[in-house]
Amino acid sequence: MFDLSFTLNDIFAFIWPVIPFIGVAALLVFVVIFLVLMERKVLAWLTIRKGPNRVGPGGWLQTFADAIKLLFKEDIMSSETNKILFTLAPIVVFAPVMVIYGLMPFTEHLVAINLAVGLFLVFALSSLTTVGIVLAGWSSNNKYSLLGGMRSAAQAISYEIPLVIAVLSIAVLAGSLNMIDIVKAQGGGIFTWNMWPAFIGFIVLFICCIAEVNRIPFDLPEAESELVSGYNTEYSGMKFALFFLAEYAAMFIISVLIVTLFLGGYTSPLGFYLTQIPALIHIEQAFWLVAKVYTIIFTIIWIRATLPRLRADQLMAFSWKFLLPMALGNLVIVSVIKFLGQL
Amino acid sequence: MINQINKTISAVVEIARGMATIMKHFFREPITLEYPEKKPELGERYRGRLALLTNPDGSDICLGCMTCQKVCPCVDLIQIEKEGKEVKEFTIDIGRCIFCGNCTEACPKGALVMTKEFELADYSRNTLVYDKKALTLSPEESEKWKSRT
Repeated sequence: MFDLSFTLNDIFAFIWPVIPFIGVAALLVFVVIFLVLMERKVLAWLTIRKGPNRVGPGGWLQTFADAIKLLFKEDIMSSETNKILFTLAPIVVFAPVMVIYGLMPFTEHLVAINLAVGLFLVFALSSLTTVGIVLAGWSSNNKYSLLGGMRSAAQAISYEIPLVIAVLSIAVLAGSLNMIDIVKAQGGGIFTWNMWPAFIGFIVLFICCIAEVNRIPFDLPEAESELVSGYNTEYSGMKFALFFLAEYAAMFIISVLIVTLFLGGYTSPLGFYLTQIPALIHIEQAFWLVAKVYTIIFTIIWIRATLPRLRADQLMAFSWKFLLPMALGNLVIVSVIKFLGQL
Repeated sequence: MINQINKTISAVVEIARGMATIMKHFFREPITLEYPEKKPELGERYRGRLALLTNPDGSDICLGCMTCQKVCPCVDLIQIEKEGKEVKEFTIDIGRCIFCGNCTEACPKGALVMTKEFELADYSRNTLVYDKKALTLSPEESEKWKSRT
């Protein structure tokens, strides 16, 4: 006889594997919709403008209107494009970003895929995005798209090296590549954050992350004044929406990464949690993470409002001649600190 | 090496200064004027659409002396038809007017003024030709304009 009486645990065990995927997808869309609006609003405030203020109360529904518009737009594909690659490119850009969401620890238990080599996989996947951008540039059969794709490839290759070396110092400090372990190693308040021993690494990583997500002042792949819109010039409708979604999703996730690696992740900067009830501690952890992440995002938007775009040769020289030696020096300093700490 | 360090420090300082300046803007009131809902505050001597003033009893101030027509840089923009001493018709083609204000300065009686009206867009050129009826202000409004000058 079959036992048909389900306990709550059985149902939970059945639903549990599905929840992370739904959760990640929902979180991603929600985050991006808010982030696009936040960027437009904050950028407007920083440049003494008002920003979107027509759709909904105070313009807060503007992104929904934009999303609906993009959903209903015609999907134009010019006749000379490589159809398969043209369709594949937005997916290749979007999919890795979505997987990275699953790897990030949002609270102690809210991490969909908890891997021993989580940090390694994050950077392996974030490099894949560039392949999609090059694909988009090449398959569009458009000189602006191609130039945008080429620039993106050159930029990603140059900036990934100091980025990974800066992250290596975190692996040295935490002694692990697991994201949760890295966060737990800096759980004792603001002074135990990795930011202090690896301060140079923090600056290098911050700059490289801005370059990785192609944001001003490193937005050469989509420089409006030079390349129309860069690699996504030929895209419209849902395909463009995917690029757009991936770009902002990447901006959010790169901020989560900075926070997780250098600013203590979901732990409280005070060194103790304000609440003592176990259920509320998770909410508090999520709150601290979101607060830190939005501080970082605000800084990124602030930088966008301040700095002009770099020239292509300046971009390369900055990475190879400045950031790479800095990252290596940081690795040496961190290793020495770690060695002395173990004595 | 020393040169490199100096350059780095000065670059960091300059970027920090720039970012501080942008941060100051964050707390400023936006300078955007939401036009259709909020109208701009126009200056005392704003040169808008031309208008004709009237006496308190409703009769014309304009004598039909044609001075405005002579000083107008746009050829035959102002057209005046007279019947004896009375000004029968007075038309201004606002579509061609350059809003220079010469006619208001030249008018010996001060009968022409430039109002603050600037929303003059229309669907055809013909409707932009204002006749005497459209140009003439009511006696009350005329008093307001006279007291201003």
